[in-house]
Amino acid sequence: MPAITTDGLTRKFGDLTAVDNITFEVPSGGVVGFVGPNGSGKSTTIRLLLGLISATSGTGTVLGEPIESPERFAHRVGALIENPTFVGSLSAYDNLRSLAALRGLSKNRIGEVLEIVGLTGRENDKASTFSLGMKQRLGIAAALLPDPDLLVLDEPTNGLDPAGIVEIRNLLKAVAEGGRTVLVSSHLLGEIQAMVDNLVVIRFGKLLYSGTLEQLMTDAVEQVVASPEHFEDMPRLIAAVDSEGWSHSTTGNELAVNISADRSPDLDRVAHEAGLTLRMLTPRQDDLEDIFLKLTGATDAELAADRSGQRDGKDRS
Amino acid sequence: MIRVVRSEFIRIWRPAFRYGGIGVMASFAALISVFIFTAADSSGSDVSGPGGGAFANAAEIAQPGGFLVSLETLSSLAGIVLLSLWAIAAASDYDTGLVRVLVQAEPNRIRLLGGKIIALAGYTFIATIATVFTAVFVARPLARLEGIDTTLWRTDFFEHLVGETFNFMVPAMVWGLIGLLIAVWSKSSGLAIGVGIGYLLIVENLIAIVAEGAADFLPGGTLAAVAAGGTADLAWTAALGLTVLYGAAAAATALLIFRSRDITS
Repeated sequence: MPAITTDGLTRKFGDLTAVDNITFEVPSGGVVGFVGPNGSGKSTTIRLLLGLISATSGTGTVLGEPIESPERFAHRVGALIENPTFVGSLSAYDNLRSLAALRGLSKNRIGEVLEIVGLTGRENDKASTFSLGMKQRLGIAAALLPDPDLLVLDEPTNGLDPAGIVEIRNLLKAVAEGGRTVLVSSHLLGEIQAMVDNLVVIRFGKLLYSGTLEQLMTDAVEQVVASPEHFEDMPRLIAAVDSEGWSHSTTGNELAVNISADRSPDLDRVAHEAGLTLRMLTPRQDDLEDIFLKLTGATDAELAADRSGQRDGKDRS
Repeated sequence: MIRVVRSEFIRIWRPAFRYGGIGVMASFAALISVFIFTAADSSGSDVSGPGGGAFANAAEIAQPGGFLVSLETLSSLAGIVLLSLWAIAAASDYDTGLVRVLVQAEPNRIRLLGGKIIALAGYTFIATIATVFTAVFVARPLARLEGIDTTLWRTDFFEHLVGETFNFMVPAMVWGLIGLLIAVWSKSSGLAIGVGIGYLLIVENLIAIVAEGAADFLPGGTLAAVAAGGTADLAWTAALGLTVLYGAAAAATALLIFRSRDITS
């Protein structure tokens, strides 16, 4: 049974369609990345899935239960929605005790989740004294309280230092290895690539991709970038590459040839046969960021400019 | 529902509410008691109190139940404090975004807000008991200091204690409910406190000037009438009935708003 399904899920705010006829499926188990440019409708989709807002049209399920009836799955879902939120004047322990009481959970669970997120020993400190990174950990601890089958985390590595990011990445992988599904929304694509098995990509509220990361990366272009010792030799290098029938592109004094990395020696040989010495020869492969930009087709700034005409003042990110 | 009440009470029982809220009310009880007892003229003349009313004189204070004479005057101030605290308790969930976490964990919003109301009512019970206790505690030393005879205070002591506490507590609860209603509607503790206090101190007084009779039946006048044990214009039972009605209406309206409210913005 899939952890999450949506079928034509749509949410409108006035004239703005924040989530537009989205249909995807998230398999059970593993870490699933949920990515899209700022304002693409990720948070709105998460709110719809958690039953915090209702859909304008379309349907969806979470753990096999309809999203219109969140009471049927709420006890099996843990969530960190946008920023972690706590009562600042209460200790970390009391904040978790309050949420554990709401879910009817034992106090023992509080110690367990504090240990999981590495906050043991800080439980009696007021939440207001915590750094952003510690608040993120506390938010994840709160989400883990119900020992959930599905963990939904919106930007869980926000504010964390590099070591903290790696810790959270390993933590989420460990959580997923226990058979749980972890849906992670993030704009840190390097992090997403390092931790997810599946990926959902949206833009302007529309689904761009849903499937495995592996499948998405098969579309990644492999290139070998070469640069002649003298810039004036670039036309001769291009001619040599053309004679092999390889496609290419030029940026400055660099020539990117669309061949796999293991053919780098072939390019070196072709240049040598043309009487050229290469100053640089580097294999390169698209990473998730490149694929993402190709899918979404623009940078955030371009998207914002493009979107400004469609907005009616509502923030839908 | 018990789960929700327990969860809410843990958050409500934070230092600001535990020491701030109860401390302010107990301090008001002590200060107003000092003022009333020292202002009470043994010759029997009245001293004007807030809103044009009169503080009790020494002879009145010496009557049975006189040890709780400060509660009637304290009622409005306690109402403002509790309106503010209930409003803060409700609106801070919006301010911090905690409401999203709570609704995700407990999607039944009626149960969620109902549990908050019960928890806040429990807090109000404790706060009003602490306030009454303070008023009782300071009454005898103050009476002795001012030379007021307290012999009659022993007459029906517990009947007066329970009755006056009830008359003090019920309006306090309803002021809290009104604060909660405005906070759920406005999603802002500041706005809720401003509107609540502005209504109590300004709007009702303006209405009283324009339509004298009507003011007795408005929330401020009605709740004050309960605290006073009834007035010439509004009997205690009628005032209590209206007060309960105002409280029920505030709670029902808050629940209806919260059930359908967008909690994500």
